[in-house]
Amino acid sequence: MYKTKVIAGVDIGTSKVTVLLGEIHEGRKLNVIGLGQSSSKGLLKGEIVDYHLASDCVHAAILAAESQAGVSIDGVYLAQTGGHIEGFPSEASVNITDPDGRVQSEDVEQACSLAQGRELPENRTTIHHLRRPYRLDGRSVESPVGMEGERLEVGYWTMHGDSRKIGDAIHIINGFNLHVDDIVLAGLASSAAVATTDQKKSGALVIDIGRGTTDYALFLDGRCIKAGCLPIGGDHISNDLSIGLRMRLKQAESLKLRYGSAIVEHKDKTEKVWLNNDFEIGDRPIPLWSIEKIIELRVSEIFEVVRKKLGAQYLPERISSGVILSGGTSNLANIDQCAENVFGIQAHVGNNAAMASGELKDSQYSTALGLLHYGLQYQSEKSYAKHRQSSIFGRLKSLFQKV
Amino acid sequence: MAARTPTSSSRRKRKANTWKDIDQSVKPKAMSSASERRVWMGRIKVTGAALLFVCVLVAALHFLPRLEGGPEVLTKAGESMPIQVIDVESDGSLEQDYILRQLDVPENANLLSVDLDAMKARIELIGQVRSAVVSRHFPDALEVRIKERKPIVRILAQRANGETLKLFVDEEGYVFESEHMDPKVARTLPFLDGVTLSKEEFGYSRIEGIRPLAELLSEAQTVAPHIYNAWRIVSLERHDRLITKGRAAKEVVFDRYADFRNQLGRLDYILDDCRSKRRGEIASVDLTLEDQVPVRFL
Repeated sequence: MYKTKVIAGVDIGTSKVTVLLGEIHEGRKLNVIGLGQSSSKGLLKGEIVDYHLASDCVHAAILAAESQAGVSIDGVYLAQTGGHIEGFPSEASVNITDPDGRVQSEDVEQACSLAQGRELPENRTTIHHLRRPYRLDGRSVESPVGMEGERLEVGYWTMHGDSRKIGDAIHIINGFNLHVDDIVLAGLASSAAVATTDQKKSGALVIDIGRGTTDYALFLDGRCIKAGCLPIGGDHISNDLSIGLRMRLKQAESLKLRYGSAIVEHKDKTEKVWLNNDFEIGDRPIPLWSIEKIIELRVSEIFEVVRKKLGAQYLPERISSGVILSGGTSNLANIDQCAENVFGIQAHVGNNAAMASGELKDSQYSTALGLLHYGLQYQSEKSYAKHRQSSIFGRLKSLFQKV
Repeated sequence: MAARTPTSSSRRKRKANTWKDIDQSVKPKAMSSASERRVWMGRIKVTGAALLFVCVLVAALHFLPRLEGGPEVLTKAGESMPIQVIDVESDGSLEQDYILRQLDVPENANLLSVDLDAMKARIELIGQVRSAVVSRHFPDALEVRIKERKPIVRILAQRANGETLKLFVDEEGYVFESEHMDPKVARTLPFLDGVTLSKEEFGYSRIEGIRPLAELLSEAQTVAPHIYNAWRIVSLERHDRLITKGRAAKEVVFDRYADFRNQLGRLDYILDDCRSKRRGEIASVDLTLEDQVPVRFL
């Protein structure tokens, strides 16, 4: 008999904590049944700096989601972001020992295990091993078992982070008496929501710009080959405005939201806008050109850092679906054009239309929705593995039960 | 050799290779008040469920042996327990030996093998018995409880061969033959006259209209036992009158529909008056007239 499992996607962001509850039926159908949000406290650039404050706001969001859905959570999928997350390529190769020269599953396992076995520095812990296609005698293959060849190579992009910082995030969830079933890089999670399978197959670069961090994930041939996280985000734009135009951070944030543009639209340097727009003491005119220029420079810088991080992996001709932007800062006007200028390929702001409807289509829920997608995938794999392990008698029994 | 002191490296935790190595046990200090509430609610729920489970388990363990053992015990009793005790109790004068003879329980009969309905029917065939209850008391006892009929009058009759019959009538008019009536009780009962007996398959037909007579006799026994004790015959020969015959007055006529206590009071007064004035033996007293009481002397 299949069970219904309630999972939670928890996205602990710099500006807010988002919790989405999903109900998984029969290990293959997902219904979103609850949403809880709270403004973040005790977090800086995606990292926990005050454990108790962060605990309170995360627990409040979980409680709100549980109360709305009227159910208890069975497991949590947690998004991970922050400047401590890094990645490195790891490769391994094995010679095929089979007398017929055919690749055996043992060969594949050995190659994978060698590639994943690289020791990490102290206090670092692995989050993901993102596998690239296998290479059999230099040709790219998806599943080499049974194929003829002499040498099998496998490559991974291994994502790792500070075990203490990851532990803090996990322990906050544990503090609510919940178990973390899996950790997913925030960039990968939001990619699952905003990029379709076809877009990933034809090549796509997903950039999720949050308030404190920017997560990116590069997809080629349907696989994520590189992902990462930068400790810069929307806050840095406000900060630049604040310093450059000499105003308080809140005023800068407000100005960004009201007049912000990621490219300079207004060339006339005399065109001005009011800082507070209330014509009271302290209100003053600000050149619109200056605002747009500062924002353009900072956003371009973020994109350039991403491009630099991608390095040789960034092949514009192979990224047919272009750049897909997500996260709160992607609501900035003309950000897609700015991305096109930097990356030299088409760019657009993504949404969650493929996964959700109504309010949840907004890109601020991309990460939490993506986490639920990962949860569904994990449950499906578990359910399939369980099904395969069951005896013939068990399968016959389930067949009769269905009939 | 000096004792080895723990170094900072030996105190260091084992390096976590994947995030799954991170310990996820809950530390109470790390919990917010909301999560503590949630944990306590969870604990209460778990404790409640555990208690319920334990209760169900205990109940099952308590009752299951009984359910399983019940039929076995009955079978064993039926197979191996002969009747050892027959407990007879009657609210009348029937003797225990006589009842046991009527029960006719075979020797060494099993408690489960005897037919209780048949035994009850045999006991209730005794005319003096109004009802009987026969029951089994495990493992080896048979219990018989009898309620007897209470006679109010007796009838003197003869069989065709001249043999005297001892018949009694209870307050419902049921006529029964009894050889086992307590002689002390039987002697005090007046004879009934003025009725016709007819034989039926099991005994005699019921005497109709005896209820007023039963009331008169009961009233007399209660309020004027000296008058009751002097009555020898009571008669139902007239449908609207009750007639008693005895020593104090040869014949007293009562109105069947009038108040018996009042009539008995008037009779007592007349008898006293006659006795005190030495008026001689009374032949008849008629209490059926409202204002007048005709008294005839011998």
